Amino acid sequence: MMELLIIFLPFLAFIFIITHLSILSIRIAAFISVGSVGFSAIFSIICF
Amino acid sequence: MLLIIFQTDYNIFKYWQMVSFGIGNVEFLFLFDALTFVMLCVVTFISFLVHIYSLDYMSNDPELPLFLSYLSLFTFFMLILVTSGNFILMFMGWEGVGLSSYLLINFWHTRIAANKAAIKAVVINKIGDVFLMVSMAFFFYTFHTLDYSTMFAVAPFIKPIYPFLFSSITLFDFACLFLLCGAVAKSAQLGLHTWLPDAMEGPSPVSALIHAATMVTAGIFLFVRCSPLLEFSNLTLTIATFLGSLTAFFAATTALCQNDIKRVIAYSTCSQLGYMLFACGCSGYDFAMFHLFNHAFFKALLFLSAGSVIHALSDEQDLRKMGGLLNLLPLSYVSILFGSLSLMGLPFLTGFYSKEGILEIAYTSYNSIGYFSYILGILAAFFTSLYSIRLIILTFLQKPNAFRESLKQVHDAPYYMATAMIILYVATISIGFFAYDIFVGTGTNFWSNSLFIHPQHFKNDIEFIAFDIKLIPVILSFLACVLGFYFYYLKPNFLSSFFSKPVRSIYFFLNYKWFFDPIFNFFIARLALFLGHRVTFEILDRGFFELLGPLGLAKILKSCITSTHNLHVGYLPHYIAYILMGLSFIVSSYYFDFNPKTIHALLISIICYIFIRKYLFKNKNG
Repeated sequence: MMELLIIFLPFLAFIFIITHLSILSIRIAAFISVGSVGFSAIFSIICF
Repeated sequence: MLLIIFQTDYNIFKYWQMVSFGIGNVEFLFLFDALTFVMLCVVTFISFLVHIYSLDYMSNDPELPLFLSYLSLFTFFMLILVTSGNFILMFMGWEGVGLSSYLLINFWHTRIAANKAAIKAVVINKIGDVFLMVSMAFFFYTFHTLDYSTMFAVAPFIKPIYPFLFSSITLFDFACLFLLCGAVAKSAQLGLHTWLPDAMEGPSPVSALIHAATMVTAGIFLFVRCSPLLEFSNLTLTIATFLGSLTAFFAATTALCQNDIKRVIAYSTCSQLGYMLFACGCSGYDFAMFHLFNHAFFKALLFLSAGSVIHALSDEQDLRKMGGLLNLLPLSYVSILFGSLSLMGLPFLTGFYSKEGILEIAYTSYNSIGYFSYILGILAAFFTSLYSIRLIILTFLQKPNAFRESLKQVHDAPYYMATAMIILYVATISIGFFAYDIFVGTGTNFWSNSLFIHPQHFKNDIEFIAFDIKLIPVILSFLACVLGFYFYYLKPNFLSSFFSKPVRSIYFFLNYKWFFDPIFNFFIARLALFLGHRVTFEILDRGFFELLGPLGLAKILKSCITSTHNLHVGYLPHYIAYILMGLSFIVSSYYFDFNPKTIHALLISIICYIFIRKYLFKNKNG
């Protein structure tokens, strides 16, 4: 399932930020977005 | 349903079925092999750093969450593109990155230039997408599937079956050529490159992520991914080599005379993509991927550093209005310096290993197109050094040309921006050295089944070519450095003293980007607009379809109404005739099954009608 996480984490972040755009603060959005892509990066380096 | 199929050297993950139709199934199929993992690392790592960088770069923008979500969306589509196991899923990712590219170029959507650049990027990418779709259709016709694994397995046996037009060019060749055209548009190769420099209207993190490290390399990735197909089409490989080397040379010369810092780096990207394409054309897929990997790091660093300079100078991008920033922006200076040195191929930096390898691959092709690309490649290396030195001198070393007020506010990269730049800076210096043996070292089995090189194209002479041949690009790069330093820094007026008419015309030729934009506008865009107006709009849309559709229907209805109206003349015998006609029709409709009886009944009713009408008219006249 790690492969699916690598691929879909950024998309989940996108969906979450877009659907909550009006109530999200910049910090929360940044945390979600950077965190999801960061996890993808870490997972892909592990897989590598 | 999760079905995992483990094969010898790569894993295919079938998750669920997307579409099922009579002649095939389309599935969510992911392919994880060495090629995928290299791309995964590049995409996620650079994307992560660009996300971090954006936190500071876009901190004053109220729409930062939207920007970050677009970046995440782009990353998702890019991951879909690189992990897909069939052409359909790849195409979804391919279109998705195009869409994200549009959204991100046009992020500051109140600027007209950004709107124009985004539309241009979309239109040119759509041209490539159409080519890719045609290629997919041809492949489907040939293989009856679009799954990579099946196509790659069948490819060696498929070629001679479908001769097309000429005996030497097959439908398979055409499919590969269209695939090349798709890759050319996405990777901004000569002819369809004009969108890339214009796309620099977007924010700098976007340029670093999309237009340097990831999306523009999708074309090269596709080419490498399809190596088991393309290796059987020599024509495509030859054209790719030719086109790639021309792009490398063209973009390097054009970058020399550009005055926008990001445009210089954008043309540099074009040039490096040209290197990758001609490496693919010479069957050096491993070197192309190695260069793609290295290029992602040093070009992202260059773009991020350029963004830092632009950020510091309050969005000033013109090189002629910079200068004297060496002491004000030391981190940006060091980053641009080492990024440029790596780009030039200075020994033992990251760019050196892959660039040298690509030139050696071209040289060891031992054919005319190989030598052609080698010569253009080393000339491009010369110009690369020249424009890199020019960029460094004009930005940091020359006398300050910026306004005093903007220089007073100059500050180096804030915390997040600096973090991203420092990580990339370390990668730019070291990653080529560490990755060389893994990717392209002698006897490495890293790529395994993910790349395929036809035995006829296999090259094992790279390690054995003469040392002086290996030295030529490095010597030319050093020479360009010295010349650039002398002419742009020590004797800046020397060049302008030579500004005679021929030199001016060369400068204008390069500054106007080899006149590609005017030529395209005059010969292609005007023609397309004319055809679009005359044929599509006037003849087809407003002519043929209008006549068949609304206008034609209205006319028919109007004439029917008129003729029906004419029937109501007010004479009783006429109405009796109509009643009789109706009756005869009802009677004959019992026989209405398209056989001789029906025709017979219809004939009888028509004869009755004629007789009655004659009788009535006689009565009327009488």
